[in-house]
Amino acid sequence: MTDRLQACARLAGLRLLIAEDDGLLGMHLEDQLRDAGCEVVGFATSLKQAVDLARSSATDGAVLDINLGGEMVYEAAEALRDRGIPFVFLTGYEGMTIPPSFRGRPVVQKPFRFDDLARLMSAWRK
Amino acid sequence: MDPAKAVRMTADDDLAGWLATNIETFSTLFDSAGLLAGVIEEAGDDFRYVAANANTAHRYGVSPGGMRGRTGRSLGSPEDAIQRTLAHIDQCHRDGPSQSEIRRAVDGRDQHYITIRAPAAAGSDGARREAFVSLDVSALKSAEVEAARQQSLVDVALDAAAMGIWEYDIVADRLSWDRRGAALIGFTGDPISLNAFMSLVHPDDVERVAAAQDAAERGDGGGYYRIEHRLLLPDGRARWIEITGRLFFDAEGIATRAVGTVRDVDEEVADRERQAILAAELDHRVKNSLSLVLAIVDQARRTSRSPGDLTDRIRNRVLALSKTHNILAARNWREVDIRELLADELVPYGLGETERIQLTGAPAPIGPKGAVSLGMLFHELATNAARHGALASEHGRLSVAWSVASGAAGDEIVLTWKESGGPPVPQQRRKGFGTLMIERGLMREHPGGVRLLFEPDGVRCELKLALNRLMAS
Repeated sequence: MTDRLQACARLAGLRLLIAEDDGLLGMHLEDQLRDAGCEVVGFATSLKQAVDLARSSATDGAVLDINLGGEMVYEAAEALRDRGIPFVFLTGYEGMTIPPSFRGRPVVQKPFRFDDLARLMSAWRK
Repeated sequence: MDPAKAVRMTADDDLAGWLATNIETFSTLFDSAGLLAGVIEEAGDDFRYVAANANTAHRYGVSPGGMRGRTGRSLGSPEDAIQRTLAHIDQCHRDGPSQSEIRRAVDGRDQHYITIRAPAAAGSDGARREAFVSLDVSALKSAEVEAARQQSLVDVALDAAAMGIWEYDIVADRLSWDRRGAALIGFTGDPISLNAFMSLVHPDDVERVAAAQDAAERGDGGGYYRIEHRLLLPDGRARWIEITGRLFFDAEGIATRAVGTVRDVDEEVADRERQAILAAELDHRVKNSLSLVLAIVDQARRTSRSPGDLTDRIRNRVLALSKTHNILAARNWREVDIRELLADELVPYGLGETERIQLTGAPAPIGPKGAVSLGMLFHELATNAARHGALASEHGRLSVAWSVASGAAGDEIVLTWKESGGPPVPQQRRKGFGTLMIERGLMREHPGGVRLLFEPDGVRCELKLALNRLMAS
């Protein structure tokens, strides 16, 4: 079995939230997650949407682009943390300073290999 | 120096007699001091040496002791020099001892002498005599001239570099500044204490500056000191300055004094910050582009029916991305006008050459991220129009009109892309790559802001996008 298939097997059935303000990148990520058998239960392109979804959606985890149209995603991350839902940050900025309260949380630099993201998320299976 | 006090001699002292008698004895002393000394007397319309030391003889190319009885003319003195000398003898008999500085050119080089003259008792024939001692100060003089030249060089160079000078007497705790330095730190020219200076340093930099000073005084940096920090100006603004210095230590290794320069580096620091921001932005843009390329490749793979199709789709989208980047790069990655983004996609289809493509709207600024996303949207619309829509037939027309209006979330760009006169638009059609990119990508990126309508007479795309979102990083 290839790495990709292994990752897919691990992710199958996982419910996920995506926050990504770039339409095309979001679409690409969504397609990849669906291919891996995940269910994308929410898609946010702005901070407000992300916070609403983080508070309310029934999800097993979230992929959060840090910069959403100039606003930082941290408020949504806090909401997820309060609910005990795991998440991974995406960023296109080198050396971005993440608030101390989120230190130790996984951060993936764009562009990334989907397998690297999948490996992180495979630990989210209950 | 007052010559009358310096030379306490009068005609009564018979200096000439004394010198004439003793000059041989003291010649060595005069010679080794580099002095010219002698006694001269009037001799009709010429003057004559009564006595002279070896230095003086040497100047005339005469053997030591051979000066007695030699006249000005016999020594080859020019006529005007002879007349001047006679005038000096006359003057010192009228006015008493004098000191003068004279310059004469010898072998094309300026020679400076300071000469002290005193009247001396007349000789046996009654001729008036003058005793003189003359010091060659040419070397001193040229050093003085050179020092003045160096000083003016330093002044000009410091002025050109907009640099000030400071000096710190560490023992006395006195920090002084030259005019430029004082102006730079916004202080009067009076010396201040180091504490007074530190009170001008920007509060955020005080700790760092104090640490650097301590390190320099300990001898770190080998007696050299350099730091950039901010000053807090009285008007509340901050100014970046660069201070460099050299420290001097006593025998125990204690720093006693420091001297250096101060320079306004406000512009340089601002430039560096701009460069750093630009570099970070570029880094971000490059990564974003690579991410987009990966997404484009993946989307093309999903919708292409043949390898040729796949290659074309990838190539065209990457080229579209690259065109948007060219515009952004030309604008230093700040903002571009929406018209430029449209023009870039539509010029290949005859924009500006034919009437069939019309762009109408006032300039509207779009940030780098918004530009990339709109650039791709316009590319998809233009590609679709060229393949199936108004730009696929010579009768088709395309009108793009936009305006900026205030909306719920601040200013919005309202844009309408309307095709007409092209081939009939089929109502049931398979959604192509471009349409999918618009619907799934851009519509979601701008919820409610993008509408794509396949109207019977031609495609209509309506945009209503918040300007602040298009300007966001």
